Amino acid sequence: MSNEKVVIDNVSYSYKEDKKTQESLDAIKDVNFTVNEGEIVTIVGPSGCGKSTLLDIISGMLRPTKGEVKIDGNRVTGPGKDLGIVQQGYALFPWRTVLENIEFGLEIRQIPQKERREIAKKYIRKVGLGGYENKYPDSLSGGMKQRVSIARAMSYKPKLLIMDEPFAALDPRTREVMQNELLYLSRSEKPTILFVTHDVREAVLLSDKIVVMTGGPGSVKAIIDVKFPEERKIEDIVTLKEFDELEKKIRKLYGNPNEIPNDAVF
Amino acid sequence: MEKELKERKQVARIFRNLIPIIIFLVIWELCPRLGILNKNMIPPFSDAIVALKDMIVSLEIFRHLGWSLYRAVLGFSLALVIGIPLGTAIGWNEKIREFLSPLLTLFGNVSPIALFPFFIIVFGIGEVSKIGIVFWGCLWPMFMNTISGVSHSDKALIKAARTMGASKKTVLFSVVIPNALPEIYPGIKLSVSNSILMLCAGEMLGATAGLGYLISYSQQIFEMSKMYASIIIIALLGLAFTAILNTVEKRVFAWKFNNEK
Ligand SMILES: Nc1ncnc2c1ncn2[C@@H]1O[C@H](COP(=O)(O)OP(=O)(O)OP(=O)(O)O)[C@@H](O)[C@H]1O
Ligand SMILES: [Mg+2]
Repeated sequence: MSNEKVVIDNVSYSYKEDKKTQESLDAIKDVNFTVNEGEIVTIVGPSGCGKSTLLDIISGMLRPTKGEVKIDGNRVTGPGKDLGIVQQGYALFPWRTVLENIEFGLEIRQIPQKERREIAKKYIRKVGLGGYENKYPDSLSGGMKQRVSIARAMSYKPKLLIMDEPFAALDPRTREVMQNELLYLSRSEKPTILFVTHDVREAVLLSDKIVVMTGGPGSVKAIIDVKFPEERKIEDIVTLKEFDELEKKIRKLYGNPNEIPNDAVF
Repeated sequence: MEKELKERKQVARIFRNLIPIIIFLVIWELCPRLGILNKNMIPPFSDAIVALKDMIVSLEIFRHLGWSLYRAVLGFSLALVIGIPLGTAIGWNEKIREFLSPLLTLFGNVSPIALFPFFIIVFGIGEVSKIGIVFWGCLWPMFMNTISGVSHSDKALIKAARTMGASKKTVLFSVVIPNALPEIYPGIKLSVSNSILMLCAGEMLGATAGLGYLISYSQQIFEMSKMYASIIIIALLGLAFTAILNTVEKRVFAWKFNNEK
Protein backbone atom coordinates (compact mmCIF):
# COMPACT_ATOMS: atom_id res chain seq x y z
CA MET A 1 0.00 0.00 0.00
CA SER A 2 1.24 3.42 -0.84
CA ASN A 3 0.47 5.14 2.45
CA GLU A 4 2.65 2.90 4.57
CA LYS A 5 5.30 5.20 5.97
CA VAL A 6 7.25 2.86 8.23
CA VAL A 7 7.21 -0.92 7.93
CA ILE A 8 8.86 -2.89 10.70
CA ASP A 9 9.37 -6.34 9.30
CA ASN A 10 10.34 -9.10 11.71
CA VAL A 11 12.98 -7.03 13.44
CA SER A 12 15.23 -8.48 16.14
CA TYR A 13 18.17 -6.88 17.87
CA SER A 14 20.77 -8.22 20.27
CA TYR A 15 23.32 -6.06 22.04
CA LYS A 16 26.80 -7.44 22.07
CA GLU A 17 26.93 -7.52 25.81
CA ASP A 18 30.44 -8.11 26.97
CA LYS A 19 33.78 -8.02 25.23
CA LYS A 20 35.09 -10.65 27.60
CA THR A 21 32.22 -13.10 27.95
CA GLN A 22 31.00 -12.65 24.37
CA GLU A 23 27.48 -12.93 25.70
CA SER A 24 24.79 -11.01 23.92
CA LEU A 25 21.45 -9.71 25.06
CA ASP A 26 18.27 -10.05 23.02
CA ALA A 27 16.72 -6.63 23.37
CA ILE A 28 13.86 -7.16 20.90
CA LYS A 29 12.66 -10.20 18.99
CA ASP A 30 10.48 -10.54 15.89
CA VAL A 31 8.77 -7.18 16.04
CA ASN A 32 6.24 -6.44 13.30
CA PHE A 33 4.04 -3.42 12.76
CA THR A 34 3.29 -0.70 10.30
CA VAL A 35 2.88 3.02 10.69
CA ASN A 36 0.80 4.74 8.07
CA GLU A 37 1.49 8.14 6.65
CA GLY A 38 0.25 10.95 8.90
CA GLU A 39 -0.59 8.67 11.81
CA ILE A 40 0.34 9.09 15.42
CA VAL A 41 1.48 5.74 16.74
CA THR A 42 2.52 5.25 20.34
CA ILE A 43 4.53 2.44 21.82
CA VAL A 44 3.82 1.55 25.43
CA GLY A 45 5.45 -1.12 27.54
CA PRO A 46 7.38 -1.71 30.72
CA SER A 47 10.84 -0.28 31.29
CA GLY A 48 13.59 -2.23 29.55
CA CYS A 49 11.33 -3.92 26.99
CA GLY A 50 13.30 -2.43 24.11
CA LYS A 51 11.30 0.65 23.11
CA SER A 52 14.32 2.92 22.79
CA THR A 53 16.21 0.19 20.99
CA LEU A 54 13.39 -0.12 18.47
CA LEU A 55 13.36 3.65 17.90
CA ASP A 56 17.13 3.59 17.35
CA ILE A 57 16.65 0.94 14.69
CA ILE A 58 13.90 2.90 12.97
CA SER A 59 15.99 6.06 13.01
CA GLY A 60 18.88 4.17 11.43
CA MET A 61 21.27 4.46 14.36
CA LEU A 62 21.30 0.69 14.95
CA ARG A 63 21.28 -2.05 12.32
CA PRO A 64 18.80 -4.83 13.15
CA THR A 65 20.43 -8.19 13.69
CA LYS A 66 17.47 -9.74 11.89
CA GLY A 67 14.67 -8.40 9.72
CA GLU A 68 14.46 -4.93 8.25
CA VAL A 69 12.83 -1.55 8.55
CA LYS A 70 11.48 0.22 5.51
CA ILE A 71 10.69 3.91 5.35
CA ASP A 72 8.78 5.05 2.25
CA GLY A 73 9.47 1.62 0.81
CA ASN A 74 13.26 1.90 1.16
CA ARG A 75 15.28 -0.24 3.50
CA VAL A 76 16.81 1.83 6.29
CA THR A 77 20.61 1.65 6.31
CA GLY A 78 21.52 4.87 8.14
CA PRO A 79 19.99 7.99 9.64
CA GLY A 80 17.27 9.22 7.31
CA LYS A 81 17.33 12.64 5.71
CA ASP A 82 13.86 13.69 6.78
CA LEU A 83 13.74 12.67 10.38
CA GLY A 84 13.27 14.44 13.67
CA ILE A 85 14.02 12.73 16.95
CA VAL A 86 13.53 13.63 20.57
CA GLN A 87 15.73 11.46 22.75
CA GLN A 88 15.03 10.32 26.27
CA GLY A 89 18.02 12.29 27.60
CA TYR A 90 17.18 15.48 25.62
CA ALA A 91 20.66 15.51 23.99
CA LEU A 92 21.01 19.28 23.81
CA PHE A 93 24.33 20.79 22.80
CA PRO A 94 25.55 22.43 26.02
CA TRP A 95 27.72 24.95 24.20
CA ARG A 96 24.78 26.27 22.20
CA THR A 97 22.05 28.52 23.54
CA VAL A 98 18.39 27.49 23.38
CA LEU A 99 18.03 29.43 20.15
CA GLU A 100 21.21 27.96 18.63
CA ASN A 101 20.17 24.45 19.62
CA ILE A 102 16.89 24.84 17.79
CA GLU A 103 18.69 26.30 14.79
CA PHE A 104 20.93 23.25 14.39
CA GLY A 105 18.67 21.25 12.09
CA LEU A 106 17.88 24.39 10.11
CA GLU A 107 21.59 25.10 9.69
CA ILE A 108 22.08 21.64 8.25
CA ARG A 109 19.29 22.37 5.81
CA GLN A 110 21.17 25.55 4.87
CA ILE A 111 18.34 27.88 5.69
CA PRO A 112 19.66 31.46 5.69
CA GLN A 113 20.54 32.91 9.07
CA LYS A 114 17.73 35.47 9.25
CA GLU A 115 15.00 33.01 8.36
CA ARG A 116 16.52 30.47 10.72
CA ARG A 117 16.30 32.92 13.62
CA GLU A 118 12.65 33.61 12.86
CA ILE A 119 11.67 29.95 12.64
CA ALA A 120 13.57 29.09 15.82
CA LYS A 121 11.92 31.96 17.68
CA LYS A 122 8.49 30.85 16.49
CA TYR A 123 9.06 27.37 17.91
CA ILE A 124 10.48 28.75 21.14
CA ARG A 125 7.18 30.59 21.60
CA LYS A 126 5.21 27.46 20.68
CA VAL A 127 6.84 25.46 23.47
CA GLY A 128 6.42 28.33 25.91
CA LEU A 129 10.07 29.25 26.33
CA GLY A 130 9.88 32.89 25.24
CA GLY A 131 12.56 34.87 27.08
CA TYR A 132 14.89 31.88 27.33
CA GLU A 133 16.37 32.21 23.81
CA ASN A 134 19.86 33.04 24.97
CA LYS A 135 20.13 30.70 27.94
CA TYR A 136 22.50 27.76 27.90
CA PRO A 137 20.88 24.33 28.47
CA ASP A 138 22.73 23.73 31.74
CA SER A 139 20.69 26.47 33.35
CA LEU A 140 17.32 24.96 32.35
CA SER A 141 15.08 22.55 34.24
CA GLY A 142 14.44 19.04 32.90
CA GLY A 143 11.03 20.00 31.53
CA MET A 144 12.45 23.06 29.79
CA LYS A 145 15.24 21.02 28.22
CA GLN A 146 12.66 18.56 26.99
CA ARG A 147 10.71 21.35 25.33
CA VAL A 148 13.85 22.67 23.63
CA SER A 149 14.49 19.19 22.33
CA ILE A 150 10.93 18.97 21.00
CA ALA A 151 11.17 22.39 19.36
CA ARG A 152 14.48 21.41 17.79
CA ALA A 153 12.97 18.28 16.26
CA MET A 154 9.86 20.08 15.00
CA SER A 155 11.53 23.22 13.66
CA TYR A 156 12.61 21.80 10.31
CA LYS A 157 9.29 20.03 9.77
CA PRO A 158 10.49 16.47 9.31
CA LYS A 159 8.11 14.05 7.62
CA LEU A 160 8.76 11.51 10.38
CA LEU A 161 8.96 12.48 14.05
CA ILE A 162 10.30 9.93 16.50
CA MET A 163 9.98 10.81 20.15
CA ASP A 164 11.09 8.88 23.21
CA GLU A 165 8.95 9.85 26.21
CA PRO A 166 8.90 13.44 25.04
CA PHE A 167 6.57 14.72 27.76
CA ALA A 168 7.83 12.66 30.68
CA ALA A 169 9.54 15.53 32.49
CA LEU A 170 6.70 18.03 32.12
CA ASP A 171 4.24 19.16 34.74
CA PRO A 172 0.60 18.16 34.01
CA ARG A 173 -0.42 21.58 32.77
CA THR A 174 2.52 22.02 30.38
CA ARG A 175 2.14 18.44 29.31
CA GLU A 176 -1.43 19.05 28.23
CA VAL A 177 -0.39 22.16 26.31
CA MET A 178 2.29 20.13 24.53
CA GLN A 179 -0.12 17.30 23.79
CA ASN A 180 -2.53 19.72 22.16
CA GLU A 181 0.36 21.28 20.29
CA LEU A 182 1.27 17.85 18.97
CA LEU A 183 -2.29 17.18 17.83
CA TYR A 184 -2.33 20.58 16.15
CA LEU A 185 0.98 19.86 14.43
CA SER A 186 -0.34 16.50 13.34
CA ARG A 187 -3.35 18.14 11.71
CA SER A 188 -1.52 21.05 10.13
CA GLU A 189 1.74 19.55 8.88
CA LYS A 190 0.61 15.94 8.77
CA PRO A 191 3.93 14.39 9.77
CA THR A 192 4.03 10.75 10.74
CA ILE A 193 4.62 10.55 14.48
CA LEU A 194 5.96 7.62 16.40
CA PHE A 195 6.38 8.00 20.07
CA VAL A 196 7.05 6.14 23.27
CA THR A 197 5.24 6.87 26.47
CA HIS A 198 4.72 5.23 29.84
CA ASP A 199 1.48 7.07 30.23
CA VAL A 200 -1.43 4.91 29.03
CA ARG A 201 -3.82 7.83 29.20
CA GLU A 202 -1.51 9.90 26.99
CA ALA A 203 -1.28 7.04 24.52
CA VAL A 204 -5.06 6.80 24.25
CA LEU A 205 -5.45 10.56 23.93
CA LEU A 206 -3.00 11.03 21.12
CA SER A 207 -2.73 7.91 19.04
CA ASP A 208 -4.33 6.46 15.99
CA LYS A 209 -2.69 3.20 16.92
CA ILE A 210 -1.13 1.86 20.11
CA VAL A 211 1.57 -0.78 20.08
CA VAL A 212 1.76 -2.57 23.41
CA MET A 213 5.12 -4.25 24.03
CA THR A 214 6.25 -6.69 26.67
CA GLY A 215 9.72 -7.46 27.87
CA GLY A 216 12.13 -10.37 27.96
CA PRO A 217 12.91 -10.22 25.02
CA GLY A 218 10.91 -7.25 23.81
CA SER A 219 8.08 -8.12 21.48
CA VAL A 220 4.67 -6.81 20.44
CA LYS A 221 1.84 -7.99 22.66
CA ALA A 222 -1.02 -6.19 20.99
CA ILE A 223 -1.77 -3.50 18.46
CA ILE A 224 -4.86 -1.43 19.15
CA ASP A 225 -6.54 0.95 16.75
CA VAL A 226 -7.94 4.07 18.31
CA LYS A 227 -10.86 5.80 16.64
CA PHE A 228 -12.01 9.15 17.92
CA PRO A 229 -13.70 12.02 16.12
CA GLU A 230 -11.46 13.77 13.59
CA GLU A 231 -10.85 17.04 15.42
CA ARG A 232 -9.43 15.81 18.67
CA LYS A 233 -9.38 18.08 21.65
CA ILE A 234 -8.06 16.63 24.85
CA GLU A 235 -10.76 18.28 26.97
CA ASP A 236 -13.47 16.62 24.83
CA ILE A 237 -11.97 13.18 24.46
CA VAL A 238 -11.52 12.54 28.16
CA THR A 239 -15.29 12.81 28.62
CA LEU A 240 -16.04 10.04 26.08
CA LYS A 241 -17.12 6.61 27.26
CA GLU A 242 -14.87 4.92 24.69
CA PHE A 243 -11.89 6.68 26.19
CA ASP A 244 -12.39 5.06 29.58
CA GLU A 245 -12.94 1.61 28.09
CA LEU A 246 -9.83 1.84 25.95
CA GLU A 247 -7.73 3.02 28.82
CA LYS A 248 -8.88 0.11 30.95
CA LYS A 249 -8.22 -2.37 28.16
CA ILE A 250 -4.66 -1.19 27.65
CA ARG A 251 -3.92 -1.05 31.34
CA LYS A 252 -4.88 -4.70 31.52
CA LEU A 253 -2.56 -5.59 28.63
CA TYR A 254 0.23 -3.48 30.03
CA GLY A 255 0.06 -5.29 33.33
CA ASN A 256 0.04 -3.55 36.64
CA PRO A 257 3.60 -2.56 37.47
CA ASN A 258 2.72 -2.56 41.13
CA GLU A 259 1.30 -6.06 41.01
CA ILE A 260 2.84 -8.30 43.65
CA PRO A 261 3.74 -11.77 42.40
CA ASN A 262 1.77 -14.62 44.02
CA ASP A 263 4.83 -16.23 45.50
CA ALA A 264 6.20 -13.05 47.02
CA VAL A 265 7.38 -13.52 50.57
CA PHE A 266 7.73 -10.70 53.05
CA MET B 1 25.51 51.24 42.29
CA GLU B 2 25.77 47.48 42.20
CA LYS B 3 28.49 47.62 39.60
CA GLU B 4 30.52 49.97 41.74
CA LEU B 5 30.22 47.60 44.66
CA LYS B 6 31.37 44.72 42.50
CA GLU B 7 34.38 46.67 41.30
CA ARG B 8 35.31 47.61 44.83
CA LYS B 9 35.09 43.97 45.88
CA GLN B 10 37.34 42.99 43.00
CA VAL B 11 39.95 45.57 43.96
CA ALA B 12 39.83 44.28 47.53
CA ARG B 13 40.37 40.74 46.30
CA ILE B 14 43.38 41.73 44.22
CA PHE B 15 44.89 43.41 47.29
CA ARG B 16 44.27 40.33 49.38
CA ASN B 17 46.05 38.19 46.79
CA LEU B 18 48.99 40.59 46.75
CA ILE B 19 49.60 40.44 50.52
CA PRO B 20 51.56 37.17 50.65
CA ILE B 21 53.61 38.25 47.64
CA ILE B 22 54.44 41.56 49.31
CA ILE B 23 55.44 39.76 52.52
CA PHE B 24 57.70 37.46 50.51
CA LEU B 25 59.35 40.41 48.76
CA VAL B 26 59.89 42.22 52.08
CA ILE B 27 61.60 39.13 53.51
CA TRP B 28 63.70 38.86 50.36
CA GLU B 29 64.67 42.51 50.73
CA LEU B 30 65.46 42.40 54.45
CA CYS B 31 67.22 39.06 54.96
CA PRO B 32 70.28 39.84 52.80
CA ARG B 33 70.45 43.39 54.20
CA LEU B 34 70.37 42.17 57.80
CA GLY B 35 73.01 39.56 57.05
CA ILE B 36 70.63 36.61 57.59
CA LEU B 37 71.29 35.48 54.00
CA ASN B 38 74.57 35.79 52.10
CA LYS B 39 74.32 38.96 49.99
CA ASN B 40 76.66 37.52 47.35
CA MET B 41 74.36 34.57 46.74
CA ILE B 42 71.04 36.27 47.26
CA PRO B 43 71.15 40.01 46.78
CA PRO B 44 68.16 42.04 48.03
CA PHE B 45 65.08 42.31 45.85
CA SER B 46 65.79 45.97 45.12
CA ASP B 47 69.18 45.06 43.61
CA ALA B 48 67.42 42.67 41.23
CA ILE B 49 65.01 45.45 40.28
CA VAL B 50 67.89 47.86 39.62
CA ALA B 51 69.57 45.22 37.43
CA LEU B 52 66.29 44.72 35.63
CA LYS B 53 65.95 48.47 35.06
CA ASP B 54 69.49 48.64 33.68
CA MET B 55 68.78 45.81 31.26
CA ILE B 56 65.62 47.54 30.13
CA VAL B 57 67.38 50.88 29.64
CA SER B 58 70.21 49.26 27.69
CA LEU B 59 67.59 47.27 25.74
CA GLU B 60 69.59 44.13 26.49
CA ILE B 61 66.60 42.35 27.97
CA PHE B 62 64.54 42.75 24.81
CA ARG B 63 67.02 40.82 22.74
CA HIS B 64 66.81 37.88 25.13
CA LEU B 65 63.07 38.16 25.59
CA GLY B 66 62.66 38.30 21.82
CA TRP B 67 64.65 35.16 21.24
CA SER B 68 62.87 33.28 23.98
CA LEU B 69 59.44 34.33 22.78
CA TYR B 70 60.34 33.39 19.24
CA ARG B 71 61.39 29.87 20.28
CA ALA B 72 58.47 29.37 22.65
CA VAL B 73 55.84 30.60 20.21
CA LEU B 74 57.28 28.70 17.28
CA GLY B 75 57.68 25.44 19.21
CA PHE B 76 54.21 25.76 20.71
CA SER B 77 52.52 26.65 17.43
CA LEU B 78 54.11 23.71 15.64
CA ALA B 79 52.90 21.42 18.41
CA LEU B 80 49.42 22.95 18.17
CA VAL B 81 49.02 22.62 14.41
CA ILE B 82 50.34 19.06 14.46
CA GLY B 83 49.04 17.78 17.81
CA ILE B 84 45.42 18.81 17.57
CA PRO B 85 44.58 17.66 14.03
CA LEU B 86 46.56 14.46 14.50
CA GLY B 87 44.99 13.87 17.90
CA THR B 88 41.55 14.43 16.40
CA ALA B 89 42.22 11.95 13.60
CA ILE B 90 43.48 9.30 15.99
CA GLY B 91 40.74 9.91 18.56
CA TRP B 92 38.06 9.72 15.87
CA ASN B 93 39.24 6.39 14.48
CA GLU B 94 38.76 3.67 17.04
CA LYS B 95 40.86 1.04 15.28
CA ILE B 96 43.90 3.26 14.83
CA ARG B 97 43.51 4.55 18.38
CA GLU B 98 43.47 1.11 19.91
CA PHE B 99 46.42 0.03 17.82
CA LEU B 100 48.58 3.04 18.68
CA SER B 101 47.55 3.57 22.27
CA PRO B 102 50.31 1.49 23.96
CA LEU B 103 52.99 3.26 21.95
CA LEU B 104 51.51 6.69 22.63
CA THR B 105 51.23 6.01 26.35
CA LEU B 106 54.90 5.01 26.33
CA PHE B 107 56.02 8.13 24.46
CA GLY B 108 53.84 10.42 26.54
CA ASN B 109 55.48 9.13 29.68
CA VAL B 110 59.06 9.80 28.60
CA SER B 111 60.12 13.01 30.32
CA PRO B 112 61.06 15.46 27.57
CA ILE B 113 64.04 16.54 29.66
CA ALA B 114 65.39 13.00 29.49
CA LEU B 115 65.37 13.37 25.70
CA PHE B 116 67.71 16.38 25.68
CA PRO B 117 70.80 14.34 24.84
CA PHE B 118 68.90 12.74 21.99
CA PHE B 119 67.93 16.12 20.55
CA ILE B 120 71.48 17.38 20.85
CA ILE B 121 72.97 14.32 19.18
CA VAL B 122 70.47 14.40 16.33
CA PHE B 123 70.01 18.14 15.79
CA GLY B 124 73.17 19.62 17.32
CA ILE B 125 73.01 22.57 19.72
CA GLY B 126 71.52 25.02 17.22
CA GLU B 127 68.04 26.49 16.88
CA VAL B 128 66.47 23.30 15.55
CA SER B 129 67.35 21.47 18.70
CA LYS B 130 65.97 24.15 21.03
CA ILE B 131 62.74 24.63 19.12
CA GLY B 132 62.47 20.87 18.80
CA ILE B 133 62.69 20.49 22.57
CA VAL B 134 59.97 23.08 23.12
CA PHE B 135 57.87 21.41 20.42
CA TRP B 136 58.22 18.02 22.04
CA GLY B 137 57.33 19.27 25.50
CA CYS B 138 54.27 21.10 24.14
CA LEU B 139 53.11 18.32 21.87
CA TRP B 140 52.17 15.60 24.32
CA PRO B 141 49.69 17.28 26.63
CA MET B 142 47.69 18.71 23.72
CA PHE B 143 47.98 15.57 21.64
CA MET B 144 46.93 13.14 24.37
CA ASN B 145 44.09 15.31 25.65
CA THR B 146 42.76 15.73 22.12
CA ILE B 147 42.78 11.99 21.50
CA SER B 148 41.01 11.37 24.78
CA GLY B 149 38.46 14.18 24.36
CA VAL B 150 37.55 13.23 20.81
CA SER B 151 37.20 9.55 21.66
CA HIS B 152 34.93 10.26 24.64
CA SER B 153 32.38 12.20 22.67
CA ASP B 154 28.81 12.06 23.87
CA LYS B 155 26.94 9.39 21.87
CA ALA B 156 23.55 11.00 22.40
CA LEU B 157 24.76 14.28 20.91
CA ILE B 158 26.21 12.51 17.88
CA LYS B 159 22.93 10.66 17.51
CA ALA B 160 21.01 13.92 17.69
CA ALA B 161 23.15 15.48 14.97
CA ARG B 162 23.15 12.42 12.72
CA THR B 163 19.38 12.06 12.85
CA MET B 164 18.97 15.75 12.04
CA GLY B 165 20.78 14.94 8.82
CA ALA B 166 24.31 16.08 9.67
CA SER B 167 27.14 14.69 7.53
CA LYS B 168 30.12 13.00 9.17
CA LYS B 169 32.11 16.19 8.64
CA THR B 170 29.46 18.34 10.32
CA VAL B 171 29.29 15.89 13.19
CA LEU B 172 33.06 16.16 13.62
CA PHE B 173 33.29 19.94 13.48
CA SER B 174 29.98 20.91 15.07
CA VAL B 175 29.64 18.23 17.70
CA VAL B 176 32.71 16.11 18.40
CA ILE B 177 35.27 18.91 18.54
CA PRO B 178 33.20 21.38 20.59
CA ASN B 179 32.35 18.48 22.87
CA ALA B 180 36.05 17.64 23.28
CA LEU B 181 37.23 21.22 23.83
CA PRO B 182 36.77 21.20 27.61
CA GLU B 183 39.26 18.34 27.69
CA ILE B 184 41.58 19.72 25.01
CA TYR B 185 41.93 23.11 26.66
CA PRO B 186 43.65 21.96 29.87
CA GLY B 187 46.11 20.17 27.59
CA ILE B 188 46.79 23.46 25.83
CA LYS B 189 47.34 25.17 29.19
CA LEU B 190 49.79 22.50 30.27
CA SER B 191 51.59 22.82 26.94
CA VAL B 192 52.02 26.53 27.44
CA SER B 193 53.58 26.09 30.86
CA ASN B 194 55.73 23.29 29.46
CA SER B 195 56.91 25.62 26.71
CA ILE B 196 58.50 27.99 29.24
CA LEU B 197 59.98 25.11 31.18
CA MET B 198 61.52 23.44 28.16
CA LEU B 199 62.65 26.77 26.81
CA CYS B 200 64.65 27.67 29.93
CA ALA B 201 66.22 24.26 30.14
CA GLY B 202 67.05 24.22 26.42
CA GLU B 203 68.60 27.69 26.49
CA MET B 204 70.75 26.82 29.48
CA LEU B 205 72.33 23.97 27.59
CA GLY B 206 73.77 26.00 24.83
CA ALA B 207 72.66 29.31 23.41
CA THR B 208 73.96 32.81 22.90
CA ALA B 209 70.72 34.57 23.66
CA GLY B 210 67.46 34.00 25.47
CA LEU B 211 66.23 34.20 29.04
CA GLY B 212 67.49 30.73 29.97
CA TYR B 213 70.90 31.68 28.59
CA LEU B 214 70.80 34.94 30.51
CA ILE B 215 70.16 33.10 33.76
CA SER B 216 72.98 30.62 33.37
CA TYR B 217 75.39 33.19 31.94
CA SER B 218 74.78 35.66 34.80
CA GLN B 219 75.35 32.88 37.24
CA GLN B 220 78.62 31.94 35.56
CA ILE B 221 80.00 35.48 35.67
CA PHE B 222 78.57 35.86 39.16
CA GLU B 223 76.19 38.74 38.46
CA MET B 224 73.55 37.53 40.86
CA SER B 225 71.25 40.57 40.65
CA LYS B 226 71.04 40.09 36.90
CA MET B 227 70.28 36.41 37.34
CA TYR B 228 67.37 37.13 39.67
CA ALA B 229 66.18 39.88 37.35
CA SER B 230 65.96 37.31 34.55
CA ILE B 231 64.08 34.92 36.80
CA ILE B 232 61.59 37.69 37.58
CA ILE B 233 61.09 38.26 33.84
CA ILE B 234 60.39 34.57 33.32
CA ALA B 235 57.90 34.56 36.17
CA LEU B 236 56.15 37.60 34.67
CA LEU B 237 56.11 35.92 31.28
CA GLY B 238 54.41 32.89 32.84
CA LEU B 239 51.86 35.15 34.55
CA ALA B 240 51.12 36.92 31.28
CA PHE B 241 50.57 33.62 29.47
CA THR B 242 48.28 32.42 32.23
CA ALA B 243 46.27 35.63 32.09
CA ILE B 244 45.86 35.32 28.33
CA LEU B 245 44.84 31.66 28.61
CA ASN B 246 42.27 32.43 31.29
CA THR B 247 40.77 35.25 29.26
CA VAL B 248 40.49 33.00 26.22
CA GLU B 249 38.96 30.27 28.39
CA LYS B 250 36.25 32.61 29.66
CA ARG B 251 35.32 33.47 26.09
CA VAL B 252 35.50 30.01 24.54
CA PHE B 253 33.71 28.34 27.42
CA ALA B 254 31.23 31.11 28.06
CA TRP B 255 28.57 28.40 28.36
CA LYS B 256 30.37 26.93 31.35
CA PHE B 257 30.79 30.20 33.19
CA ASN B 258 27.49 31.89 32.37
CA ASN B 259 23.84 30.98 32.28
CA GLU B 260 23.20 32.93 29.14
CA LYS B 261 24.88 34.50 26.18
N1 LIG C 1 23.89 0.10 24.77
C1 LIG C 1 23.40 -1.02 25.32
N2 LIG C 1 24.21 -2.09 25.52
C2 LIG C 1 23.74 -3.23 26.05
N3 LIG C 1 22.46 -3.42 26.42
C3 LIG C 1 21.61 -2.38 26.24
C4 LIG C 1 22.03 -1.14 25.68
N4 LIG C 1 20.96 -0.31 25.64
C5 LIG C 1 19.92 -1.01 26.15
N5 LIG C 1 20.30 -2.24 26.50
C6 LIG C 1 19.44 -3.28 27.05
O1 LIG C 1 18.40 -3.54 26.12
C7 LIG C 1 17.16 -3.68 26.77
C8 LIG C 1 16.16 -2.69 26.21
O2 LIG C 1 16.59 -1.38 26.51
P1 LIG C 1 15.80 -0.10 26.03
O3 LIG C 1 16.60 1.10 26.42
O4 LIG C 1 15.47 -0.24 24.60
O5 LIG C 1 14.47 -0.19 26.93
P2 LIG C 1 13.23 0.81 27.03
O6 LIG C 1 12.02 0.02 26.71
O7 LIG C 1 13.49 2.02 26.24
O8 LIG C 1 13.22 1.16 28.59
P3 LIG C 1 12.78 2.53 29.32
O9 LIG C 1 11.30 2.56 29.29
O10 LIG C 1 13.29 2.36 30.70
O11 LIG C 1 13.41 3.64 28.58
C9 LIG C 1 17.42 -3.50 28.24
O12 LIG C 1 17.47 -4.79 28.85
C10 LIG C 1 18.76 -2.86 28.33
O13 LIG C 1 19.47 -3.31 29.45
MG1 LIG D 1 13.80 3.97 26.68
